[in-house]
Amino acid sequence: MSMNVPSDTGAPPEIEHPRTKLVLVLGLLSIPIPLLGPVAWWMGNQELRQRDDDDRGQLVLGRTIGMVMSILLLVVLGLLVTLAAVGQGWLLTGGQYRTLIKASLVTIQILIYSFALGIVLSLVVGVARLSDHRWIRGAALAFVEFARGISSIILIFIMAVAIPILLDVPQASKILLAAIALGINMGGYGAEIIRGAILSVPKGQVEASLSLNLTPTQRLRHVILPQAMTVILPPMGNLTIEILKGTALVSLVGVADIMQSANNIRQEQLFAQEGTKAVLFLNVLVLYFILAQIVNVLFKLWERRVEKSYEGGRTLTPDELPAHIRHATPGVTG
Amino acid sequence: MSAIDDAATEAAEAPEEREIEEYRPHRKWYRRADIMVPVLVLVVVYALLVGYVESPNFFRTRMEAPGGLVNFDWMWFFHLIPLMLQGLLVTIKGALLGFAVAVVLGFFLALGRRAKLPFVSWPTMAVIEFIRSTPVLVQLFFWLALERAIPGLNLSPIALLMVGLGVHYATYCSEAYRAGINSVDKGQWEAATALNLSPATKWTRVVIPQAVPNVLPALGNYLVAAFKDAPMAFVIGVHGVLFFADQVAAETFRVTEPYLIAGAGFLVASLPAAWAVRQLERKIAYERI
Repeated sequence: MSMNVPSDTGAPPEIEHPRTKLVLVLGLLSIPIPLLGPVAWWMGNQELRQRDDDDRGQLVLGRTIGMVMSILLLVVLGLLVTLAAVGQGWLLTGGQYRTLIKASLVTIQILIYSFALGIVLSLVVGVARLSDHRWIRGAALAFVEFARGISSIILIFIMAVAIPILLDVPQASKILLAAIALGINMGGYGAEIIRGAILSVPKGQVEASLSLNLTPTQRLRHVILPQAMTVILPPMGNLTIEILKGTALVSLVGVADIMQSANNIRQEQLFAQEGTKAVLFLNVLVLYFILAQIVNVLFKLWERRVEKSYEGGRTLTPDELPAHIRHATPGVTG
Repeated sequence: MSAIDDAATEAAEAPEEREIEEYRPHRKWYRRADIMVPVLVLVVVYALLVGYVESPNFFRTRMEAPGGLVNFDWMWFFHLIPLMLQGLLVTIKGALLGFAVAVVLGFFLALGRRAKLPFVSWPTMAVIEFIRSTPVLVQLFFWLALERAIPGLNLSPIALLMVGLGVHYATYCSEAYRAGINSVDKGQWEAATALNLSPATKWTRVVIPQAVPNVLPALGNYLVAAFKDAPMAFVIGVHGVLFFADQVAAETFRVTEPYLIAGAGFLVASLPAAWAVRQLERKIAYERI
């Protein structure tokens, strides 16, 4: 090799990519104008395919928003056209939409309750699955097998109908009971996710924290869980969407969620001799889809934040260093 | 001393074992016992379930329900077991029928998703994403309403469950298939092209035999999941395990025993299934999807 050829081992020069911003702007614009969604999606994908070196966060965000909007656009268009062909009406009345959106607050409430319980349960049980004591391990395994083996709908019925009578407790709040059932269900799956994630943390980290004399709680809180987070989040987002789908079941025990009010609207339609309309449930499906995508985007943002926290920042200037370090560093005059 | 003995016996036994467990891939698949026995068992069980399980019109208890002051009565609880089993069999049948649709439809969805033409792959992906993130319960109501809206179409409840569950789980299966197809080595595709195999031969002889065993555990997991979603079909009139609990509760005004026995029966059915899937997972070297 001749010496004249410049070596290409050095870092490539930083190139500003004008399309990154364009994709993000297009993605954001597609929220009011869904027609731009496919454009943002396509452009984002092209860009992502070409480059893998610099930060892809903005591209991914713009592309994801564009993707969500174009999926919505396609689904709504396609199915509405189909139904119109069958000879149905296009949309519900405004009042019916208001009922559905009010009821979606109940759904979100149940989702939040069961998510909170599910996270706590999965943390506790996931850690207990790896405990040193045989009995704790066994109990955790039994819980996981129970929660994953039983159907969530049967669990909801047992929880909301049978348990209050069996234990002679007053039927406090069906929302709470149903949320407990869903939380147990989520806890079973979440415990396995967390167990797998804890096992995926390199062993050296545990050994290092042992040699630093951290207590088990400190070890979990400050060393293991932060590193397991990148492994936990993607399946946890999927699991949350599964639980959101599961909240539709609480309507069967009489909680006034989206599905229940959809059924009420159906009863009204039957009473008014309009017949059962498939378009009503199509609207409900779209509502659930929007909720699921909101959950999806929230988890994506969270993932991005976690990933960002692992990227090192730039080097601090001497002025920005904390005082005790600045004084201790030789060569830096404070 | 004993360790040496063990080693000696092991050395003595090893060749025999190898002879017994000889793997003969050159034998035709229909002459291999390790393939044919599970297949036959599956076919027989499937045929029995689909052919002989009939959904009872109503679940009537033969025994007088205990009075209202008792919270829980063991005698009555055990009395409900045969009725519960009838309902459970109908639920299992519905889940299996739905999953049969899902396994086939999912493959075509996966093919559509992989298509080179963007106007085929994008709508497929949109449909998959939409169906995946919406509840089965609402979808079942949707199919019910659609069926009512189309005049001349008269589907039985279990057929509706088959459609609803099948379409829902087809999207899950398609993701599994896609991962399996992607896991087939690139060299295999190139070799198939180099040998000038036709697309049909390439798929049936090269790709599918390598892709499908990898995804079998994932499919098994989805089957268990479908089984867990099947009881909710009582809202469209499938006389399954939850319908049994609901009807007995409505007739006798006792709610604890029917629902608890439904849950117990469900666990009895789903835990072995999940265990079997895990055994399968352990057996098949399987890349995480």
